[in-house]
Amino acid sequence: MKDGFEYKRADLNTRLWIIWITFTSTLRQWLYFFVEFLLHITGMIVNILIFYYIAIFVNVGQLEAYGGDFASFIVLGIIFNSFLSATMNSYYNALCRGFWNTSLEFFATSPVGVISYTMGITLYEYFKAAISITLYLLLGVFVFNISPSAPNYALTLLLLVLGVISVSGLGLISASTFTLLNCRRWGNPVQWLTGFIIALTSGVYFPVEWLPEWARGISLLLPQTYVYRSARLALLKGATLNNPIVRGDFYALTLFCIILIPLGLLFFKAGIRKAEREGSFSRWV
Amino acid sequence: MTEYAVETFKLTKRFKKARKLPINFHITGQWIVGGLLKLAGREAEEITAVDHVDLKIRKGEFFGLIGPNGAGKTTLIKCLSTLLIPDEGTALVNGYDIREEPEGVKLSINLVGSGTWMAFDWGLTVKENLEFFAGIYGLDPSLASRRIKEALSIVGLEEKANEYPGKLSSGMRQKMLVAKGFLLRTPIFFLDEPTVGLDPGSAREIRSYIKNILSKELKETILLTTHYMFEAEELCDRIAIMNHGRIIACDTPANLRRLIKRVDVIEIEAVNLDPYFEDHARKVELVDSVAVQILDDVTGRGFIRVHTPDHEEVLPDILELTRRMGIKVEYVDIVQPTLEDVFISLTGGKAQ
Repeated sequence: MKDGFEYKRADLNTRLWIIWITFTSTLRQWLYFFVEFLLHITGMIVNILIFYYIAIFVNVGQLEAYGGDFASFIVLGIIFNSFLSATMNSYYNALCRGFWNTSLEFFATSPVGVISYTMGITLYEYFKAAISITLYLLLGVFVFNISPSAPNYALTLLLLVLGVISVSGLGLISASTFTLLNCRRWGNPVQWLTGFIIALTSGVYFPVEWLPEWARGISLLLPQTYVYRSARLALLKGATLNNPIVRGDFYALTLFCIILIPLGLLFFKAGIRKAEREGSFSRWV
Repeated sequence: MTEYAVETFKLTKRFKKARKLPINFHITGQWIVGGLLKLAGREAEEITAVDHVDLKIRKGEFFGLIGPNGAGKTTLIKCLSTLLIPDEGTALVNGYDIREEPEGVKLSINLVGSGTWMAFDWGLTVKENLEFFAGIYGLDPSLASRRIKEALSIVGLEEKANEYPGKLSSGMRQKMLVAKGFLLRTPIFFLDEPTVGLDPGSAREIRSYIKNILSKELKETILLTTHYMFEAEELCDRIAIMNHGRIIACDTPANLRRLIKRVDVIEIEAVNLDPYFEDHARKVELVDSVAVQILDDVTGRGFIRVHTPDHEEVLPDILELTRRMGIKVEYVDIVQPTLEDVFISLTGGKAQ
């Protein structure tokens, strides 16, 4: 307080508090619509069942490199993909959500602003992904009897962290289309393009080695490819950084982090600047 | 240190009118087609929403901004609250430049935006929503709790504190929005049509709190936009009338009324009113401007206000026109110009 008036606060505590209350209130809203919550859970279980039974039905060879078990391969692929998809889409989804319910305008007039709000929504998206992952793991271990022999959890975690950082860069670029390309209606070219390219070429559902050469070339441009391959090797075969494939993937992911994060922030900030110029944070100008 | 809370310098904001594509595309398609049209040089039409506005609002002043729909009032407030970057000119808000120091502006202002009640979380109760916003403002929990109680009492929503916004009427949601604005006491408060859609009793309570507590007692600088002329006249120390993005008059309510003191105002109460009467009446000789306000759509009961330099000359022609259009005149009076008349005279528009 100065000159007898109150001023909004923009310190670190307030920023962290905003991330937290955005997360908790969004979560409460999700739980408030309980039917949607149940449908989400049901959808997840059905999704994994479909892939599990496909894995049993088809005669799969050439998976020795990943432990030889297609069911484990699929379940882990879906788990990793859930987490990285949440990372990829949360920033854009946060902007869309805030735009359509007009809260973005409110956050844009707050000194802690749009970024803290976006972080809060991202945390919520991770929480949702964590629920999915827990369910997938429970199904995998107790229903489908997936039991990795000598899993390297530390390396898996390290690869996932690198994956989250580098995919965050892509997510920020994707979110910037909200304002840079005026894509405000849930769906943008980056999300659309990367969505099917990731599903097809990054190795979520089948090994990249099965793809034709040109598609393998595309897969090399996606950080997801490196995460899925090496994290599976770490979990299913206990691979360490001494493994040349894992080491190569580790370096590739580090490079992606170095390139994509500054690029993502650059795009995101340019998007915010354009929104302030054009009033894109306001549903009604 | 400047004596002004808000100063604008040739503030200008333009928008490109959205191009309507002949076919509905998926967003990616819209982007591609829109881009191709742009490359082909078919640029969208430009609209100047705020046009070289120079405005000075003193610290602690209660300032009103009135104007017809689309005059640029909300755009001006959005520029001042850093939601929009102006294309030309700039403004100082609490001494901070909106272009160079937007963070300082954001710290200093409070905004009740028009139609932003959708920002309320429908999974949280009224009280929880206000707690959420108080948290974002950085209010201590104990102070926030006190302010929330007080704000709910002022807007008359105490009994709805534990209801969900989805179960409230639109007027009650508007009250929630105003209550949110009462949580924080910043030096500058922007209120964009705060009483729209409220019942008269609640609107009066809210006006009284804004005037007596926020303005007179706490000395906040208040910038209010409204369509209600009586509201602007009752509350504001000075009023600016805005039309087509420009400030066309700015003074105290009394001085504004004097702007048209040489104008006679013929007030006619009638039934079976026809909104097209305005168009016909404007063609009558010596008529400056006309406004028709229909209060009851069923009976067509309402008022006609005709501005003219010579009512004796014009009245017979106007009455003849009402007769020809089937309008039944019940009462005619020659009255003193009000702020509404100033508004109509300057903008040619309608007031509420």
